[in-house]
Parts: sequence; C-alpha cells; structure tokens
Amino acid sequence: MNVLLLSIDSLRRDFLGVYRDRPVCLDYSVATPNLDAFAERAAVFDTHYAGSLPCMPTRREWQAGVQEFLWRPWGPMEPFDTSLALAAREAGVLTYLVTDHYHYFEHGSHGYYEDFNGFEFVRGNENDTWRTTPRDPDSDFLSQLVSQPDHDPHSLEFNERTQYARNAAGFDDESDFFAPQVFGAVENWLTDASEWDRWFCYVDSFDVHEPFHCPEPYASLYTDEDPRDPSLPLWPYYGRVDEGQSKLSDRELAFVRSQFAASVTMVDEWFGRVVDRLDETDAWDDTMVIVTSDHGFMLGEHGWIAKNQGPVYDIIANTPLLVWHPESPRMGDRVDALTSAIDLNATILEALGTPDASGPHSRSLMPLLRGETDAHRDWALYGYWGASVNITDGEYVYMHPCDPSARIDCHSTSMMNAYGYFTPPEPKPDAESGRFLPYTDTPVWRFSAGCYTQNEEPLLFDRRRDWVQECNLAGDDTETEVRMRDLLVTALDDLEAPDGQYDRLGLAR
Amino acid sequence: MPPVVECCVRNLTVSDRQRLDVIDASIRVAPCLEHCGTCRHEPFVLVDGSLHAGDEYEHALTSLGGDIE
Repeated sequence: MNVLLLSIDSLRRDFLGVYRDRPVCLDYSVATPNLDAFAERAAVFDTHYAGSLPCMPTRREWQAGVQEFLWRPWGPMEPFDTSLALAAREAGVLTYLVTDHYHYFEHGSHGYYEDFNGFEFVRGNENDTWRTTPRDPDSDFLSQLVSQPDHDPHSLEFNERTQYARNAAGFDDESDFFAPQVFGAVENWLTDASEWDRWFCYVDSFDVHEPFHCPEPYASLYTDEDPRDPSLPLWPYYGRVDEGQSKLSDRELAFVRSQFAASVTMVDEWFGRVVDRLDETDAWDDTMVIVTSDHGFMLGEHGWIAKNQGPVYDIIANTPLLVWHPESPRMGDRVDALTSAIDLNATILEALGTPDASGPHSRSLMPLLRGETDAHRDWALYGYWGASVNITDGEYVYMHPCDPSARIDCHSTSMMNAYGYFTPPEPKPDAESGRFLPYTDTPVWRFSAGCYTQNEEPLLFDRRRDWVQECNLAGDDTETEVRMRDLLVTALDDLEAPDGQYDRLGLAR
Repeated sequence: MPPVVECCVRNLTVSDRQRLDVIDASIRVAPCLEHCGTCRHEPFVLVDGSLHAGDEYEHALTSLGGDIE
C-alpha cells in the first residue's frame, strides 16, 4: 500500500462543502468542488481533533506519535522519536516530501525533513528567509502585509513581514503562487513514483495559512473590493479584532475573510489536479490518501482573529479529516468516532506495514477503516504548551484554564527556545537534566518558562448542538462539568503528565 | 476606556507581570506579537498597538501606574 498524506495548513472544516453548506462567518458559500468530490469517495471523519498546537507540534504528533504539548512547545524532532519517514524507509518504502512549510528549515524545528529519501521545498511562503531583494518592495503591497506603525522595512531581524513582500515581488501568473507550485510538484512526482513498488508521499501545503495572497481569478471571487487596495490587509495580526495591534474594521475583516475563502478555493483547484493525476496513474487501487489540516483560523468569531491567544474553539481544534483506503468498507461513510491528529501516525505506519514503529500516544484508525469497530477514543486532549488544556469526549468540549502566574517546565534534548522559536536558541544556564519523560529512558534538559491565559474561566460546550460554541455551560459545577474535569484528570493520568501540569491547572491527581 | 497593553510571555519577568497586574489597562499576554527582533533583546509592550521598548518600556509602565515602589 502506498500512502499520500496531504496537509492543508489552517484549513477550517466549515469552509468545506462536505462539512457545512457555508462557513459560519460568511453569508456566502465557498467553492471546494474537488475536496468535496474526494470526500464523497472517502471516509469523512466528523469528530477529528487537533492535539498539540500550533503548526510544528502538530507535525511532531503526525511524524512521531508524541502528544508533546504537556512536556514542551514547538521544537525539533527528538533523538528518541521515530519519524514516519524513517520508519517507512527502513520498511523498504520510498519516502518523499513536498512542502512550502518553511518552518522545517528555520530555527526551532529541525529533524522533520531529513529522513525522507527526497524532498521538494518550494521557497518563499510567509517569512521564509529567501529573497533579499528588492530592498524596497512595492509600498502598496507592503502596506497590505504590515500595519505596525513603527515597522522598519529595512530591519534585518528575524520573523520579518517585509520578507514576504520581497519573496512575492513580481508574482504575476497563478503558477508563481505557492499552492500551484506545491500541488504541481506533487502532480509531477506521482508520475515518476510509479517506478517504485511502495511509497509514502507527504504533502505539506502552507496555504491556506496567511498571508492570504491570491492571484486572480480567486482574489476577486468573494469580494467586490479591489484585492490590491493598499488599505486592505492580506495578513491580519493575531489577537482581538476590536483592540490593539490586531484591531480590524468591519470592512477589513470582511476583506480578510474573502481572501481566506479565496485561498481555500485556490487550494481546492490545485488539489483537484492531484486527484486527476491519481486517476491518470491508476493509483487509487493501491494508494491510501489522507487529507487533513493542523488547525483552523478564527475570522472574527468570539472577537478573535487567527489562533494561539484565545480559547481553542472548535473552529481551530475540530479539524477536517478525509481518508481514502481502497480496501476499506467505510468509503463513502461518515465516521462519528472521536479521533485525534496523533492517531495519523499509527494509522499511516500500519498502512505501510510497520505498525510497531508508531509513537507512544498514537492509536491506529485502521480498525475503524476496516469496519471492525465504531468506537476509537474516550477522550482527545489538545492545546498549547503553557496555556489552557482542553478535552473532548466527542459530545462535550471542556477548556480548563491555567494559572498564568505559574511556571511550566520545558523538556527537550536541546536547549530549544520555549517561546520565540524562530530566533536563535538561547543557553539555559539553570537547566537540569534527567530521565523526566515517561515514554523514553533518554535524559532531557528541563527548564521553566511562563504561562499565559487563553480563557480565564472554564468553558464547557455541547459540540453537537453548538459547534460555534456560543453557549458556555460551565460555571455551576454541573454533572457534565464535573465529569469533563474528571475526564481531563484521567487523561493527564493516562499520559503520566508532569506534576507541574496539575499544579498550574489547579487539579489533583 | 482603559488602554490595551499587549506583551509577550517570552520576556515578561515575574516582577513586570506584577506591575502589569496593578495598572488600569486591559492586559494581553501573548506567546508572540511579531516583534521578535525587539523581543529577543529586551522587554517591550504595545500600548494601543504602539511599541514601547527600552527606556520607553519603563516609561510606559510607570505612566500607566505600574510603579510598585
């Protein structure tokens, strides 16, 4: 069996026709005909949840099967991890990566691409440190990317938005943009792949992640505005839409939504070309195809734009998952079972014939896909290191706040930055070392950092009746709230979470 | 309306967190505010979206009432 894993970054499930007629924040539908057509032939998972957030923590869950956010934040693969690519190639499977996800190639996240037999890296998305000219990018374009009043376009510091203005300077034709390049590379590779007996191809598309920069005809599909109006943002700052650096007017927010939608439709168009190539190469009979995303993106709901800072609402956490498996009797079905991002690790390894290589926290979805069971998990845990810890049983979602004045320990074999991942790692003179992790005998460094608030009070939602999560059921210690809080403790116990997690969450073992 | 003060958890010291706790403002502590160049060298705050670092940082906290002396 071959496996094609496609991640479409930041893809909100409610933007896909298969999940919802129209997104919750829009009064118009968004065209995703190719993803919807694929969903019709696949198993559509309705209760799939992110785990460790945001981008790179999710990728370590997929690659290594480690639910890392209880122990560390965004960081590199660890020496005790077995990546999907390593396990596959040691099982005689050719491995290939196609991506424009530049985080793989910057500070803070090494170890994710090195095990592939080959990889194609499409340069230039977001802050990828690629082009250094033009020194003075087009000012109108730059003003759509940057709104910080004190911004220095000539800054040589890290994580600079001017980088994108340089990278994308001169983009004209649709084929210059990122999703077309990434999915186009996959089209080409699939033709060549037929020379190999077995393969695993991992496609990691940074689109639809911001900046929401699209060519025509997509850019004008969902707005009457001029998409190149310098006063309209393509790249919102993270935070509240009604205050501070991230503040957006109603007009600006409507435009951001339209360009997010445009990005979704552009990705869908190019995903369709990959599907066409799978048709042309008769690949469906021996290829498992998985389409998913790492997280969603708030577009003004609950007053938040983007992710990371606010509560981890289902718009962010309840991610899309579509799976085609040629031998599964569940094709064309909706799968209601609770599943987690981390489960893709064991699923892919079982499909590739090397299930023993799966990570410590992953559970294969293959019994579900074989129709052997309709149940999978009693709980799915998710969140950001240093912030709230969230749990769902598939029916309710419970978000438990942390004490923001508490400290939290970071565990890693490297002195990774606990925050500021993209910048050079700083020495940790106070770090101690030891065998602190329950899932490996390998000693790691342990050092502490601060916490932050995503929700000040517990939040509880009935996810089936209230997907947008507007009716908070927490606050009166109802039977459901107590049960979900107890379930959170059970999950932490099962994972052998560090003592410090219980302390900062105010929970007893 | 009280100002909105945004700061990055990366370089927010325990004592500065205590200072922020007593000022009359909406405090937002974020994991990243995309001022990484400043952030990796020194503390900063955004007051209603404007950057205050270095001497301005101290002045901003003091003027907002964050002097705990």
